[in-house]
Amino acid sequence: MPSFTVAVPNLAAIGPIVEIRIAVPAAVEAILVSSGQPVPSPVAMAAMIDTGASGTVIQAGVAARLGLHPVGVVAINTPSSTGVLCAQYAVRLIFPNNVVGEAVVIEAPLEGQHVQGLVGRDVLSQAVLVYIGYTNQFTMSF
Amino acid sequence: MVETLKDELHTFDARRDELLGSSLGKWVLIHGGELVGAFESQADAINVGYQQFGNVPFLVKQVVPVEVPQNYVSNHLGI
Repeated sequence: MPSFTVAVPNLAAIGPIVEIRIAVPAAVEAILVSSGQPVPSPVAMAAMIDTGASGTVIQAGVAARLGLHPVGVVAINTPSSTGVLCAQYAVRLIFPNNVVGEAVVIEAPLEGQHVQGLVGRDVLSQAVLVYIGYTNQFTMSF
Repeated sequence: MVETLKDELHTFDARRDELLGSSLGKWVLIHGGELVGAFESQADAINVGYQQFGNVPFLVKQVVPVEVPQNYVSNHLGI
């Protein structure tokens, strides 16, 4: 079972944060390769595993850096707003140990945060998350 | 970027009642104001969208009577 384990200095204080890379999905990569166009390099970011997030989020602007276009629109609720429409993008998520999956994510501003992405319950629905607080580490298996 | 799919969203809204009768629970693919088809999964619809139209904007949306918003309980999002 593909998995990775992350150890952080103070898991309670900073949360379950993992370095991930966001890449174009396989379907787009195939289109680019077949037409002789370069495949954009994946974008690295710190992302928090967030059980309070329905879906996965990437920092606004990342999709444009990857040359991606929206494939959907969804309404979201946050503590300060309701029913905000957000564009959705198909992406490939690359976790440590080269654990790879595809997801449809939203783009949203995460300015002023120590993370540039949230890994939500859409991804967690395919995974096992083991949070070991007293050793400051967590493991995700798929 | 939601504006990019304005025509597709208009098409979806205009045909919602018809789709609720014919494709309840399925994922529809709409491109350029044209309803392309209905699929069993979101991934299927997206893959057909890329295969038929390339890396361009298109709308994939599930046909449901009531859309439930995604919820984010933390304050990470600047929205």
